[in-house]
Amino acid sequence: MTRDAAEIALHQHVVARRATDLVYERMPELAGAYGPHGRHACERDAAFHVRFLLASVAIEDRSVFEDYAVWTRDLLARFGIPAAHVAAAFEAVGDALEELLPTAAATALPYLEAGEAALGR
Amino acid sequence: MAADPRRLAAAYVEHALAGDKPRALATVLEPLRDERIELTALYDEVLAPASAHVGDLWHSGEITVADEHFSTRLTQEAMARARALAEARAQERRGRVVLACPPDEHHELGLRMLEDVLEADGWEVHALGAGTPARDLVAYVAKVRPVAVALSCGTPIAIPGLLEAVELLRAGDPGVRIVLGGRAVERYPAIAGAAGATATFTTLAEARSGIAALAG
Repeated sequence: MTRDAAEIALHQHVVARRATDLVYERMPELAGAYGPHGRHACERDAAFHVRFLLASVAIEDRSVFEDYAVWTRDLLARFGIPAAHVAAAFEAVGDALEELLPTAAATALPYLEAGEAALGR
Repeated sequence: MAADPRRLAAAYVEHALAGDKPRALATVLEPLRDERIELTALYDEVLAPASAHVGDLWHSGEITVADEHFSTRLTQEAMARARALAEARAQERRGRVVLACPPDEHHELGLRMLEDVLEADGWEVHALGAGTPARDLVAYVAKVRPVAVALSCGTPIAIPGLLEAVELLRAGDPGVRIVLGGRAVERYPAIAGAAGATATFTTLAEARSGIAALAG
C-alpha cells in the first residue's frame, strides 16, 4: 500500500468520528430527525465511507469510490435519506482528513470529489 | 445432450427464490450426475452467476435478506453434494495449494468453489476460509510451503487487507506464487497491479489451468 493509504488505514476510526462531529455541527437538525440512534448510524456510515475511500486510494482507481457512492445513495434512499446528506457526509470526511491527515488528504480528495460527482448521475 | 448453463442458472434462481429447495437442487445436480455438465462449468457458469444475480437482487432491494441468505445456504448445499459426486472421479495427486480470503472479506463462496475444483483435480487444498488475518496467513504459508497461495477478494472493502496480505507474504518469501480472484479483482483490474500478484483469474476454469501451469 502507498504511504497515504497506510496513513488513512491507521487513522480511519478517528477520521470517521471527526467527520460525524462535523456533520452534526453543520446539520444540528439531524439529531431531531433521526433520534438518538442517528448519530451512531452516521458514524457507522462514515466509517464505511472512509474504508471504501481507502480502498480506492490504495489501488489508485476512482471507480471503486464512485461505485460505492452510487450504491450508498440508492441504498440510503430506500430508508428516506436524501443524496444531499450523503454528499454532506463525504464533504465532512474530506474536511476531517484535511484537518487530521493533511498529506494523505491531498491524495484522497480527488477520489472523494469523484464520488460526490457520481452521486449526481 | 450437454446442459445449457444459462437456462440452469435461471431455473435455479427461480426455484431458490420460490423456496422450492428440492427442485432447485435437482436443477443443478441432475445434469452433473448425468455428466451433461462438469463441475467447473457448473460453478463458473451456473452457481456463480446465480449467486451474483441473487446478490444484485438484494442490492437493488428486490428480495429480502432472508431470501438472499436462504439462496446462499442452498448453494452451499448444492456444492457439498456436487463435491461428493466429483471427488469420486479424482485420480491424479498433485501439490499443495493454500486458499484464503484476506482480512475483512467474509464472502467465501468463490473460495469454496475453487477448493472443490482443485480438490477434484487432485490438489491437496488447505482452505483457511473467510477473513484470515494477514500475519496468520504468512505463518501458515511458511509452515506448509505450498505451490501457490490463492486469495479471493469479492468486496472492495477488503482491498486494503488483500494488499497487506500480499505485502507480508512477499516479505516472508519473495518467491511465493500469489494468485488473485474474486468479484472485486475482476471488476477492478488495478488491484492486481497494486498488489503485485503473480497472476489473476476471473473464472475457476482459468484458475485450474493457471495454477497447474505455475506448478510446471
